[in-house]
Parts: sequence; C-alpha cells; structure tokens
Amino acid sequence: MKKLLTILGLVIFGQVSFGQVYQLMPQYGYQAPRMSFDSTLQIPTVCGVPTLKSVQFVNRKGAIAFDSCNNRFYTYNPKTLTWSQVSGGGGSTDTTSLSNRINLKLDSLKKRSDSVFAYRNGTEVFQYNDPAAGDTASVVKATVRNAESFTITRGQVVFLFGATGDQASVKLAKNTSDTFSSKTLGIVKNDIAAGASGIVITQGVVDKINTAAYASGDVLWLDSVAGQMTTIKPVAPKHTVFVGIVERANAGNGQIYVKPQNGYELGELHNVLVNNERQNAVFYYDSTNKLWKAQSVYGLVDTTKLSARIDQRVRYTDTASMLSPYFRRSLSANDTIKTNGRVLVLNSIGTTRNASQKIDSNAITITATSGNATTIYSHFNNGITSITSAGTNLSTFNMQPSIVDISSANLTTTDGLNTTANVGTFWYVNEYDTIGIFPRTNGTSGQVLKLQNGAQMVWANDESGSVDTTSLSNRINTKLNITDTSVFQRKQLPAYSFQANGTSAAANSVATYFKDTSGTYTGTITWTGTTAPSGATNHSYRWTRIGKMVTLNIILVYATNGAAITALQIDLPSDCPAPAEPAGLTGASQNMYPALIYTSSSTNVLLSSTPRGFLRNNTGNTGHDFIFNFTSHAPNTAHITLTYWTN
Amino acid sequence: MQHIRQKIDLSARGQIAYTVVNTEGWTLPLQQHPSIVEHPELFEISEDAIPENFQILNYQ
Repeated sequence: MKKLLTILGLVIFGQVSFGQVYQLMPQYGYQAPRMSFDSTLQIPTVCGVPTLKSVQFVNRKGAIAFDSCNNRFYTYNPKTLTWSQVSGGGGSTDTTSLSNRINLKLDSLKKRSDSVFAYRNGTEVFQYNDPAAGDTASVVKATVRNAESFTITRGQVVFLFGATGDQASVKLAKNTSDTFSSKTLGIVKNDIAAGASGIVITQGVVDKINTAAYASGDVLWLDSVAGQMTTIKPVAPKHTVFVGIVERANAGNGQIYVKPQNGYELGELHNVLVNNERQNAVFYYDSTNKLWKAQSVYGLVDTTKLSARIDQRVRYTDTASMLSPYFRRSLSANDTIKTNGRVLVLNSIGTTRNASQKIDSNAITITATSGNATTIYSHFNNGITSITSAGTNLSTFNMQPSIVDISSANLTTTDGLNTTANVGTFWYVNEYDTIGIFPRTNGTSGQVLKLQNGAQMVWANDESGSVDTTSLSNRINTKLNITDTSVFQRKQLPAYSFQANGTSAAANSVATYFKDTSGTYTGTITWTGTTAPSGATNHSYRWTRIGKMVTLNIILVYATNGAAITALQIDLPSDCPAPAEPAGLTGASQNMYPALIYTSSSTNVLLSSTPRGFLRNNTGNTGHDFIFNFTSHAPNTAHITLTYWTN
Repeated sequence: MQHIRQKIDLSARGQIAYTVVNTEGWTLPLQQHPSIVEHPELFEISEDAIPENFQILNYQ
C-alpha cells in the first residue's frame, strides 16, 4: 500500500512539473485529462499486461496500470523497463492460480475419492478415509532397502535383515529356520532392485499380484521356498508364520490382506527357561522362580527309591529262591501276594479255622490253628512225593509221578474187596473221572492187570490165553531172521538209491545214488563231410549212475552211409547228470572227459578212422557236448561210450 | 524258411534223417553254395519247414 501511494505521489508530482493547472481541490477533487481525483483515483484500465502509451519518459518515469480483465494491478519500473504485478499488501491473491498449482501437485499423486492426503514421518501418503471407523490408516507400509543381490519382485515375502544407509533392509523370507522367518515383515508392493528402496505392505491389502494358484479365502503361510507362500500349514521343524488371506484370486489383479504373525519357539516364552536342550528332557515347574524348566527325566525321578520300590514287587519272572525270603516275612492279616494274576492269601481271617500257608524250597505246609496240620512235601524237580497230615482220621498220600500210592489200614475198594493193610495200593482215574483203588502188588506169576467191572484194576489171569511166545517168535522171524539177509531187500529205500558204506571202517550204511535209464537219442547231431548219414534212423542212448560215477552209451544208426565224414558233434542227452568240470577245464569248448567212438559202414563192418573225441563244455559254455574227429570215411553207424564224474 | 537240404529218399519209412546244410556266414544266394553247385544231385534248396529232429551238415 505504501508503495502504491508513493507511485501515486510521483504521478501527481509529474503532472504538476509539466505545467498542469491545479486548483484547490474542489469538492469533487482534481481532474486532469483522462484522470479524475476525489476520494479515489480513477485511471483508465487495460486488459492483460499493460504497455506504455507514451515512450517519451519510458526510462525516467514510473507508471501504474490496472488490468480490469484479470483484476491485477501492475507497476512500471523505468530502470528495468518492465511491468510487474503487484502482490500482497492489499493486492489480490490469485487464488485460482494457486489452486491450480496445488491441484497439479495433488494430481501428480495417486488419490481416491475416498482417501485423504497426509504427511506421516516426513513421508507423504494417501490413506483410506474410513468414515465409519473414523480411522484412515488401513494400509501400513514400510520403505525398506533390498539387501539381496537380485531384484525382489512384487508379491514376494520378506523379512527384516538389518539396516543400511539409515534405512531398514530386507531379504526373502522362508520357513526353514528362525533366521529367515522370525522377523517376517510383509509382502513387497512393487519390484525392488538390488540395493534399491521400495515399499513393503506390513498390514493391509496388497493388490495387482498373481494369486491364480489360490482361491478366495485361502490362508497363506510362509513357504520353505524363499519369498513364497503356501496354503499348507507348515509342520515342525518348519516355522509356522501366518502371512495373510487371499481376498481375490486372479492372475494379474490378485489381492491379499497381509498381516504377518510370527510364531514363537518354546524357549522364547517369558515363563519358559530352556538354556540347555538335552535328549529325553522333560519340563517341570520351579515354583520358587515361577519358571518352567527343562531337566533330564533321570534327574527328576529318584531312581534309587523307585528301584527299591520296584524290587519290593513280585514279578512273574522271579524264581522260587528269589521269592522264598519274602515268604518268610511276617505278614499282616489279609496280606496278599499276587503272582501272575493269582492271589495267594496268607493269614486269612474270618474262617472257622485260621490257617497259614508256608512255601519254602522243600514243602508247602498248611497249618491250622487248631493244631491239625496237613503237610504237603514237595520236591519240585520230581513232583510231589508225599502228602501227610496229622490226626487219626487223615490219610497219608505217597505219590509218584502219575501214580498215587495210598496206604491205609482201613481202605476199602469200591467193589467191597478189602485190601491188605500196608501193602501199598494205587489209584487211577479212568475216562469217567472215577477214582479206583486196586492192589499194588501182583497176585500169581503170569497174571496181567485187568480192568474189573469197569471200575478198578486188578491182577488176574489172562483169560485170552497165555502168551504164545513160540508163535510170536515165528511171526517175528517171518519179518526178520538174522540168517535170512534177503529180507533186507524188502526194506523200503529212497528213490534212486542203494545202501552203502563208503567209509574205511564199519558203519551204518547210507543211501547212495543209483539210477539206470535209457531212451531215444534226440539231441542235435552235426556231421562234417560231403554228405551226412541219412535215411531211416534208430538212435538210442543209455546211462547208469552209481554214486558219482556215470557210464553213458550212445548209438546212432542210419540206413544210408554218409560220405567223406571227418567230424561229428552231438549234444549230451539232456537227462544225463551234469558232468563235474575238472579244475582248469571250465571254459567254453574245453575238453573234460575222453570219449570212445567207433564207426561202421554197416552193422558188421568196423571202419578204421582213427577217431579222437571228448566230452566238453559246448562253444557257448551253456551246456555240454561231444566232439569227434576222424580221418575221412563213410559211416552209417556211430557207437559212443564214456565214463565221467558228476557232483 | 529257405534252406539247403540233403535230398531225402522218399521211399524210406519210419524216422528219416533230415539233414540241413550249414550256411551260416554264406551271404551269396543259396544257389551258389558249393553243395548245390558241386552236388546238385545230392542237395536241393527247400522252402519247407525244418522239422524238429534235424541234423546239420558242415559241407566240405
């Protein structure tokens, strides 16, 4: 304003210096051509940036002008020859321009109709305006540096690695260890080049990522592959880190709500002290320090006391000598000892007679308090040898294994027969569980035990006749007579065997291999010559094996002679025992056993052909065959024989 | 399969020897085999099936 008045003063003074006639300010002020003064100064206006109408004093006089089109006031500086817009101090603020400039800034930022612009910690952010909740912080982001040597791409999960350049750094997270999972931060919003900074969504929605592999609603966990997520909840020792929920499954516009939740290891809980993991450790509560601590189970349990308590129990595997000290102990009433689920009650109370049972290494004794005692003597290795009891009305039992010897002065048999006192009797149990009593001693010589009346055994004459020992002897002799060795021929032997003693001393004979068999020869025959023997054939073979020695004979018979025969090769019959291959002669085509061959031109003419031959391994070493060489001749018959060993 | 066989006496009865000439390694036509060339009266080329119990002749 001060500046404007100064300008006005200069203008008025300039007008006066050029001889303008001034009058005392009339009522309506001073008036000059095209100007008028009263309480206001009215001047012509321009539209836009003004220009001087007169150039006479362009560099000596200042000027003012009013742009009525844009509502702007301008001043002219003769020194700089420029017009300047007057701002501030009563000048109008170009709010439209200012607004436009602000909007340019706002437009350069991403904004939504439901978001607001805000500064947070020196960073300009747009945040979601939630009118319902009244809280606009719906996406929490962090600007971090990529500490990997490669680009971390959009949608990958990262963890806080460290810091560099006053900024936290991240690397790809994975659930394989605490190092890579316990500080999981969030999901990368956009690609971050190696060493560069970028945005990580730590809570809230991350969009425009590939979630095609998932379905809406899928729970996402940190995967074992660096930077990846999985819908399969990891199992220890993999670390279970919750990453988020799939909001939209889409290949290019997928959306995840991110909210990492790192799990805790047992030792990270504030009331659990794990400072020395050890095998077979268990947790116990220290009530003094109010902590759960780890300790070896053997350090917690007093094994000495436990062992002593265990040792006081009877075990199924305990021997009699181990148990006997315990049976000598003084037991309280109704004490019980259980063995293998059965109860032996000692000192029973409440019965008519108080009784006690004693078991030691020699006997089982049952003693009644009235004094009448029944003693059972027991020799454990030989069975019960006697059962005796005190008192006049009780009997003494003397038992042998499977036989009970009863001696009694007044014992009567079931059929009323009296027994002789003290001669010894024994009783038996028949198929109807009837106990019978019969004399121990026999009667007349030659008598046999007989079942009488189906109830008892007695010595009696054999009513079926005396034993005909002569007949019995004759019958035995028909089976076996020491002078008739031919009987042994009828003894059954294993197949293909005979009995022999192959040792150098007298010994029981043993089965030794024997077989003799024959048949039509059907093996492969190969002649070498001009023509092979031909026509009707009648080939045969026979072999006999005794022990390990085999004798083989092969006869080849043809109707027509061959011509210029110099060699013959035939297979060993397939049912012949396999030859034992001598040491050093186990290879293909190696000759093992010499074979004899004679040929004839007819069955009656013996040819002189200087034959030579062997039983050998065949050329493929897959079996055995014969090979013979001759001087050239014309046979129709070949006789082959040899002896060889088998295993 | 084509092969060279020793001619068979058709008047013979019973089990007859069937002799096949060993042509292993012979790459030329069978008609040029020495057995056919030298003794066409004793050998012939046959298309018949070779029976099981045949014998072999190494012609020389």
